[in-house]
Amino acid sequence: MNGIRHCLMIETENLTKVYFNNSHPSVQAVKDVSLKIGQGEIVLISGPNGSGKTTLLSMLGCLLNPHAGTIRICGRDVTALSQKELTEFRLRNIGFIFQNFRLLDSLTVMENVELPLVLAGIRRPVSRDRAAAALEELKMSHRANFYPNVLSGGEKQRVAIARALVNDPAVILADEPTGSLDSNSGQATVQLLREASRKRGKTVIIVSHDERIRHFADRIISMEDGRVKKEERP
Amino acid sequence: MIPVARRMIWREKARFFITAGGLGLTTMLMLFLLGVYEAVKRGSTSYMRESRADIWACESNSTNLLRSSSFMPASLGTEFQKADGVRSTSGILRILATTKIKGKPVTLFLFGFDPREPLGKPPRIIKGRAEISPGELIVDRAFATKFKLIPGDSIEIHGRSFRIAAVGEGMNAVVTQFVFTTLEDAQKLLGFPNVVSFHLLSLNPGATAETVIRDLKKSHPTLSFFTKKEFIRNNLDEMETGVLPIFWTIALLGGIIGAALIALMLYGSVLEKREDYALLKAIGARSRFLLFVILKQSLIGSIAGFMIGIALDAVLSPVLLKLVPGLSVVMTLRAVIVVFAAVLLIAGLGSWAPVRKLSRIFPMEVFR
Repeated sequence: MNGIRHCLMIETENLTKVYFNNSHPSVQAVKDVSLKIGQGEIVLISGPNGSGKTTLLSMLGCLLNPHAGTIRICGRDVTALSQKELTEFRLRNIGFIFQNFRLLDSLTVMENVELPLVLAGIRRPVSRDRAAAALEELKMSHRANFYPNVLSGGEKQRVAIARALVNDPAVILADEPTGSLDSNSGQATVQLLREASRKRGKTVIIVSHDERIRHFADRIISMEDGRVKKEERP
Repeated sequence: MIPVARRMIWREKARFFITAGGLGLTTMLMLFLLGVYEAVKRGSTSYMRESRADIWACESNSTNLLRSSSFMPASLGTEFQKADGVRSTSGILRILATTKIKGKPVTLFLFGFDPREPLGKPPRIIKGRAEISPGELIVDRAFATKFKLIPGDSIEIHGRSFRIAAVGEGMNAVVTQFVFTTLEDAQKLLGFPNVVSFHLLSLNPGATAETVIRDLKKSHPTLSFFTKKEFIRNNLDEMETGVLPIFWTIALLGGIIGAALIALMLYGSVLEKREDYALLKAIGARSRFLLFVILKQSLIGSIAGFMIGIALDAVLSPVLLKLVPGLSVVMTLRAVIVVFAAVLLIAGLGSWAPVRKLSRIFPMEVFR
């Protein structure tokens, strides 16, 4: 896996996803999407509800298999990988950020951030040191031993970003990262993602309706009815 | 390692304690049943174990003291006495006698023995004397407690009054208690003098039971002879055939209830934390890791239940024994180990449905 890290791009070709209802195709959520995304690039995927943004993001995050087409991440065709290999690939190469933060309430802030490292087999105290460093970078050290339920939305999202970055993945996927945040926290979150991209060379793909994000992105991909309707640079 | 399983289970304390409490009751039930079983086992064989008889002789086709009938001439004892290696013999007569004690119908497992001969004496006397005279009885402590009897009290059996001369221990087979009287009185109650059920033989030093039995079988081919060990085993087998399936059935039902409780707790937890599990899958948790999270939660709940069960058993058993005097419980390390193994099995079985549910959670659900 290490050999394919810090690669140049994500590339999809004719990516198609169909959802079935009782074995009958009901919705073609993504249709023939071909994209090329470079390393360190921030891409915003926008579009109305039901346009296929989240389905596309799920496939780029190796959470969902396409019915047709290929996805190459870091030069590797992930559509050819088994479920076990995909799990391993996600663990080492992809960081996730969600609208509802998705922190585990039963774990402390420190443990939430440490979790991907533990899953990757990194033992304490190394995992703890790295999680502490990630929290320090995101100015959340003072909350390390708190449980997520006492944090504000903005703080939760910072923790989620720390968790996404702690394993040093090549790609960060963010689903509506500002959706549950007030204006300032949202701005700060996007700024943090931008820093991750600029300073660390992470490829950041954001799915969002939030118009304020547009000028942070290097590229905006607009989707409609499962297809890429327009690609533009802000 | 982050204690994900422990934290998840601890997050829902009420559910955890209800489950562990339920499993504790299951554990207590299993421990109690095994304790009663052990007590029945010991109580029904302690007379044989503590007897000095090396050989038990009985009618052919009769194999045990508990559930087979044997009648043979008392005079055979004199013949056995003459056999090589035999030191002494004593006949005992076992009869079932029905009576009423303080208005309650009671069936007695009555043994007639020769008070002058130690071979047939009851195991342990705790009150009174073993050297009883005609018209006297020795009863078990549980029996005495159950009917509030003390030495000096009288019981009427088949129209004859018997005075309790002593109270003993080791004669409580739970389902029934052994009562001892003189051989002469037992024969009178049966209506056949000079009849015994078993002849008990003790051997001279150096004589082996197997050799003596071989010789006795040659001279008495229509009778059965058993070494002490064989006879105890026969009685245990007989008792296990009758009682054990009932105990195991109840214990099995308890185990199923325990597994259902664990399954319910974890299944509910998996459903409620569906998105957490989806997140774990999304960020790269391997199937084995998630399986261990479920199994650990199941183990934590089961072991907590086991500990609660041990505590409940320690507290409630004496109370139950007071409430039901005829009952007897013997706790052994083996029983604790068996129940612990059962609890581990319950943990495994209880995880099956939650693990299946978990396998049907897709990482993409994290976007819900």
